[in-house]
Amino acid sequence: MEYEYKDNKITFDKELSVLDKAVIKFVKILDELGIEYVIISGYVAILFGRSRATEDVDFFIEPLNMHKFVELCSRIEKEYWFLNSSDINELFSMLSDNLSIRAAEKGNVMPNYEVKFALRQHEVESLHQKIEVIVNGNTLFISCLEGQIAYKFKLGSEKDIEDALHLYEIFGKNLDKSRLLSGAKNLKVYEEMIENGIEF
Amino acid sequence: MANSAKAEDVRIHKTLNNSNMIQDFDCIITSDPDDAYNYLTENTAIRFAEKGQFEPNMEIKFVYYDTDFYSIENSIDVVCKNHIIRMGPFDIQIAYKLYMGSDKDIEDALYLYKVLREAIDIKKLNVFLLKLRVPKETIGKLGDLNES
Amino acid sequence: MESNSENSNQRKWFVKYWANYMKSVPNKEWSRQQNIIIDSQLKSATKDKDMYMKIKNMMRKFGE
Repeated sequence: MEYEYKDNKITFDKELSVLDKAVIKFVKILDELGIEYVIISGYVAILFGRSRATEDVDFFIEPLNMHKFVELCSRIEKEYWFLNSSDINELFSMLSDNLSIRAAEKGNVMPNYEVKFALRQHEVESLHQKIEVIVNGNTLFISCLEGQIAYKFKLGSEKDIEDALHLYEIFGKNLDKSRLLSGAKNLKVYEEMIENGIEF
Repeated sequence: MANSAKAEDVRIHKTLNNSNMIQDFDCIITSDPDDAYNYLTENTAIRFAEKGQFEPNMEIKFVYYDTDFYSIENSIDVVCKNHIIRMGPFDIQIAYKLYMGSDKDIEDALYLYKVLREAIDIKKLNVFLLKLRVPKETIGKLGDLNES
Repeated sequence: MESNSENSNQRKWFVKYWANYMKSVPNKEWSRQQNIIIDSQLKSATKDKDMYMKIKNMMRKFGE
């Protein structure tokens, strides 16, 4: 894979999928409103070539007050609908309880954008340690790769471990090995990662 | 794929050579038919993709376990816009997904159960759930789906 | 029935195989192939919001 990885920024071009275009369109709303976000989970691996599909894209966003959340919903509801509920108060309550809400383009269910407030420590860290990705000139923010790989091993499903292995194979020499080791130890997945050929 | 003695497989390979499959597809793992055959008899999958690419690809194995034989003998033809795709029966597919047990697998199983409920043989589903030792709380989710 | 580990090892092998292939061809080529899978899945995806969320909510309760 041809890419440039420098100063916490990954730049590359590729043929954009329908999913990529949809994600780019959605994050523009967050950018317009100045809302800090980070994309986590499966889409990160897919963005970088993992050969599988996904039905949703997971986000952490900075916690918002009700006023800002209403502004976000008003903007989203021009083209999207919320799958959980149409009641803004209920949606805000879910987010405040550290539950996720899902939005998709009106009339569709997939892809949908699963959004959570970054409330827990690891969620806040994801937000603060994000990496900028510039794909075909479009900017997206993703969680740091080392943390992503360790977390995928923590989740432990076949699919998650495969996602982690894919990222490791693609970015191998560009990964911060000490950060990878730190993530492995913090999440207690060091042995599993070693068994799967990860080198620290 | 149904298993075959090697001589029969050579016949199959020759037939494939003359078919569109070999013209249009490559085996990703190996270009040597003997190698491919050895993989299959060792219960290892081989993959075929359209010439010049690797994705999407079709993963093929010989039947090996008794459940594989059940699948091939009880396959279902799904007709979609005049194309026929032969699938394994839904009862064992759902049971296997629940057996695999990840969140995504269980979601797949629930979805298939919900959408294809009328086409599922519940007695056979229960047999496979028992055979695969799917945990009771997992099986219970199918029931919850019915009630909700 | 095939064990989890047999299937898992074969799948992991292909993950590495695909990643190595990606490094050997231009981005335009591997992404073209990848998009066949992604785009086709979204094209045929369900639009049944209620059923989708019913299953998601069940899974959330299942995990609690």
